[in-house]
Amino acid sequence: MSGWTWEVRATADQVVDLSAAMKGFDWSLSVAEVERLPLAEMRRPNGTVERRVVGDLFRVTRQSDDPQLVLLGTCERLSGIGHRWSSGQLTVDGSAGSAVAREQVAGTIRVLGSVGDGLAAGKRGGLVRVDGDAGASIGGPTIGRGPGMRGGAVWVRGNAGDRVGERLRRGTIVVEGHCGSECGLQMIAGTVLIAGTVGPHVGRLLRRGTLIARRDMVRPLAEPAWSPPQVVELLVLRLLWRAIASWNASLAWIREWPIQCERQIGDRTAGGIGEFLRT
Amino acid sequence: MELNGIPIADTFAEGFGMVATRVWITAATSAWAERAARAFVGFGTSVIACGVEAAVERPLSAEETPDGRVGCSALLFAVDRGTLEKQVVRRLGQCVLTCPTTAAFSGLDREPRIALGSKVRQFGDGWQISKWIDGRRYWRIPVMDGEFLCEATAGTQRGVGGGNYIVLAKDALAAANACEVAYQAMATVRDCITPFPGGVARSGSKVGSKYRGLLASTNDAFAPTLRGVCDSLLPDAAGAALEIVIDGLTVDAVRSAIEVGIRAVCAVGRDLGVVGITAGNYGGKLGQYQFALREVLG
Repeated sequence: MSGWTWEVRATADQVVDLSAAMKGFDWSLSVAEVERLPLAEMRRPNGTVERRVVGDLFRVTRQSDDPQLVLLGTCERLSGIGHRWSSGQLTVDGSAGSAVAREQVAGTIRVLGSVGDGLAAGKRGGLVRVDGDAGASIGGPTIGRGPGMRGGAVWVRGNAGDRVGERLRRGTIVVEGHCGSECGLQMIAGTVLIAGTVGPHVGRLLRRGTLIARRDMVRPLAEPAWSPPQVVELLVLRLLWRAIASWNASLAWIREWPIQCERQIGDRTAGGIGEFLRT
Repeated sequence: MELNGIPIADTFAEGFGMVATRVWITAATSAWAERAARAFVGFGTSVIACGVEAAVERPLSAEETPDGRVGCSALLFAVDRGTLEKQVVRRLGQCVLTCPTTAAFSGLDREPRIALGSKVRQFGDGWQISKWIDGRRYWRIPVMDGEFLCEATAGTQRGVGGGNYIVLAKDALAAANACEVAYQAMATVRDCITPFPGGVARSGSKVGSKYRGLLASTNDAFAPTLRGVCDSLLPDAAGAALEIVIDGLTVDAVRSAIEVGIRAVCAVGRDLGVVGITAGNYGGKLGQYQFALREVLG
């Protein structure tokens, strides 16, 4: 193993927010400096406030100068992994909690297991890959902010929860499995591609952007909120398939997807002129 | 110096700094791609009155293009970035947007960039769709055959204009036939174009004129009908002179095109009636680049 390793010492007894530590982490820091990075304050049920640092939670080691960080151990109760991640590769060797890749700027984040809600909330760039499933609101807004993800790419190999691409502003989200209800809720722009089935209320209040699903997995959306389906050939899909296939060799299958599709425009109840493509 | 018995004058071609862009035009078939590209670069022989110097650089295979279709690569050169953008947008809107099945992409990954589709998008009247793919922005404009897909901006870089050499021959047809050979040979050189029809200008010019406001006028030193009236640079055996003009993205590209062209002419030149090769310059006072013919031919 090369680069940095943060190994969880003991499973956290409650959710621990790693945002502050992730934001403060830098490849140039020493092990001691990383161990002193603060974690979010934790308020105990008895009212006491606990201030902890990275070294309290993780055994930190540095094997080389490679810009790679691996989180080992049980990370399901850790939220904010990859918060504002801006360079290099972050790997979670297992599952992770909520808000993975929140406000990610660049670089690559890979979670070998599943993640909780709020994956890639407010993300601005880079790629996040989840080999398992993801919870609700992929690419959604961060708390108290209007638009959702503003750039970059999200790739979920398993299934996704509700509200995939909620208020998505820019960027591409690919879910290889199925997704829950309200996919593309209030989407502003960007692209969401679901290879599996899609739950009810697809594209509700969508204003712009592109929702893509497979013709054999999803029915056309209901009129009059959506325009009648029209068969069209969209050259832009070829560029999109190529771009997605370039993320990883295991996405090569998408190159075979046709560029002819059924297109609907909506959600017209919200004055939207986004598109729902069944290919 | 002689090449295959053809004298090469001890002189140089004078080139100028320009701003260049490359636009890739694709279509459903090579015929439509070529039609669009030819229209796009049309009336693009000289910056003096056309705004840009432009030509099709080469055909593109489906493997090379972003959308996996065949296409043409066009190079455009202007004196400044503002003029280049104005010309590119105008030509894109009238010649490529209008042509069935076409799409347009930047063929240069350089900064700074100029507008391409971003200034044509409003033709979509609000139905246009912006799409960011792989860090590049594209515009999808609804048109009567589907969508016109166009990259929002095109990269630019510094280029070299005005590379040239002059073919001296026994008569006009001999000179034209020799230039045809050069034109075909130079088409294999990357990163450069020959913007005049067939690569050739018969109206080579000198700076200024007896008429006020005219920036350039006939190069009387090479006009055979003025021999004996003006100071002629034509050898006795020459009855005609034609100038091949080259614009390139780099100095090396222009130099390479000059070399390839001259060698091609000289390889068949004696049989065609070529009597010499020279070049046009302004005494080295106007242009930043000098291409000494004998040096270029090594």
